[in-house]
Amino acid sequence: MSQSPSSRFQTSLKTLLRTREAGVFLALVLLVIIMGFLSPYFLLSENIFNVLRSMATIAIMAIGMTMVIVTGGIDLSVGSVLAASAMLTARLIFYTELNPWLAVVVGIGFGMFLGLINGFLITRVKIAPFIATLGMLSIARGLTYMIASGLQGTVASNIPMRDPAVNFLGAGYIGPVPFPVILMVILVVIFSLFLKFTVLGRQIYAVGSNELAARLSGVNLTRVKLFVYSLTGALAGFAGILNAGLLSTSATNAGLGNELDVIAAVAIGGASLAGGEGTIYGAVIGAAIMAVLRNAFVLLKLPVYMQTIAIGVVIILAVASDQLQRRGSNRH
Amino acid sequence: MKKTVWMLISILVLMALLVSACAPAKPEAPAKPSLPPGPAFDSGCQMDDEGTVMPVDKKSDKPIKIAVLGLENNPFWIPVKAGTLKAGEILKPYNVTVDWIVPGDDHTAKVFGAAIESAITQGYDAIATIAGDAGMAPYIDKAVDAGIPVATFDSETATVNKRLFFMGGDEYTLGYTAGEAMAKALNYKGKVAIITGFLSVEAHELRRKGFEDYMKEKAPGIEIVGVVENQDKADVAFTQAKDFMTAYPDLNGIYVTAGGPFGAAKAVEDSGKSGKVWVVSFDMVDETMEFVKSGTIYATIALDPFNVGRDPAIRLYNYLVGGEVPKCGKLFSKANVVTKENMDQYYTPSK
Repeated sequence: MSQSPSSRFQTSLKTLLRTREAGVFLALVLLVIIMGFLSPYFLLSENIFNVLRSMATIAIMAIGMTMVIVTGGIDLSVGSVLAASAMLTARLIFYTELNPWLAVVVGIGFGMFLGLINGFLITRVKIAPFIATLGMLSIARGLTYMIASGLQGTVASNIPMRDPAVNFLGAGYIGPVPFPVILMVILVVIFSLFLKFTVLGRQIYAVGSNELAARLSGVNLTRVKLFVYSLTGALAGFAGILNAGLLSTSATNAGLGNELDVIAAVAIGGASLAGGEGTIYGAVIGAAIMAVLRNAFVLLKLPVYMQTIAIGVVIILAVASDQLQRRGSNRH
Repeated sequence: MKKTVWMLISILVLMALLVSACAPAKPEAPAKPSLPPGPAFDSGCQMDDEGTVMPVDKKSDKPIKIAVLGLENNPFWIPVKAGTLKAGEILKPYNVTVDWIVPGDDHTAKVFGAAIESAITQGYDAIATIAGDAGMAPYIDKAVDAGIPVATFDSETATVNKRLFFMGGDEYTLGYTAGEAMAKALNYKGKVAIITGFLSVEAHELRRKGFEDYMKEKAPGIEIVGVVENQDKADVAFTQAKDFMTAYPDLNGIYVTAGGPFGAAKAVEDSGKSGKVWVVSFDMVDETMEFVKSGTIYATIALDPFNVGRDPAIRLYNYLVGGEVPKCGKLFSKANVVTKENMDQYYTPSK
């Protein structure tokens, strides 16, 4: 990198390296290069699209989770809210005459409502986000079973998603590109711009950096927090529709444990769990690192018990590389 | 002085009388005389007469009551109950009543132990019960000690107890049978990927081991190209199946040991590889059966729950009246290979 012909290229590279996501972005690039060498199939467009599709729901939830974590909070309920929203939508489509798109809106609205309750418990009842959303993790999963069983005391089992147009959201393709990947890109761009250029977006960072200072300068803390938790609930609901659409089935165990993947993606992406910093692009890179890794399990024929260890090792390495990069850039 | 001696002697006599009255009258203890000892607890085998075993040709002189303790908390139990009612019908001419009893809606020793105790009190002559909870062992022993033979079915604790026999599935054999089905689909050569449920669930690991052992022993032409864990999730199975098909363009089969096999089947159809990549799975969930019907799932392995409900009562009668001892302590129920061709025989949709 020493003798770059264009000085403009050098400056832009420097700018890139100075950003928060640089370290983890380099980790992803490194991982992709290594994978490209180790497996002839990795860089096939079909495989790349598989990896992107597999990370879409995690990345979409990570958009909301980034904002929550930037405010200094956490949301453990996303996996369960995903399931509850999808189950409600599937049930409305399967058992009622409701317009399927309206059912989708109701499902996402239900996710938003559960998120709003999280926000209410955190801002009004003053329960720590970890505890409030831990409670919701359990409540929303229970609601999923109840919706699945239809309150008739029958056994909670998966409900088919019976609308092909709705299922297209999760299962369709435009050319070779899976439709959920397109949705993911659109949402990531919209909400990144939102965070950067709107007042509310800037206030989210202000709340996380210094809550007292933000309040004194006139930021409505309650409003900001209600917004981020509701948005996260709605995005989890949307991810639930995509997830159910993929297999034409709303599963009772959908999203189980997803909260950890989403939080890991955000943390790998350079967000501080203490609040104040983190970006959506970073979280997407974090989700990509984990998706590439899971892809590698199969492509590189990793022994099954090793896979579980590898996930942990890579999470730690990615965050460590980010820390080293920051220390390096601080020296200048 | 003399008075005191007499007093002491009479107290001793009195105590002796009391003790002898309380002590069990040994010669009269066995309520059912000369029941033969049962098979070794851990011996296992498959019965040739599963689902067809008939009562011994000997009508009981006195009426016999058999209690079958089961559950009705999910659709799995519907055919089990039907099997028990069928056994009752078969045994009726032999002076036997079979009662299907549901003591509660959860499978714990507290609920089923109490049910065994009340069956003893009610004078049942034999009991069949599910016994997945280790706490069941003392209750089973209590019944057997009272001269009432006990059989377990569907699931049983590994804690050794005095039950006569167990009837139900054997996870390793199920996996082995799945291996055989896959080998047939692939004509004994090719590449197979494994998607397993949970590494922490012993049943899933046994199904994986059984499958792998079949390939090693009977189909060395089949190569297992990888194992991944999908935590019973269909969407994860979808991604993993896609990854396997990318990494091995000449892949021939995907074996799913537990939940979410329809995710893998959907991936096969999504890639346009139906008929080139075969899926083998377990159980008869509605979503799974749709892919059995379309042919992407070559076979799904399932026990016949009707037999599991039917046979124990009849075998208990044969033991009580005919003195017939089952071959083994664990009677493994046959694993049925359900395919597109024979699915109507085993499956009725729940929705």
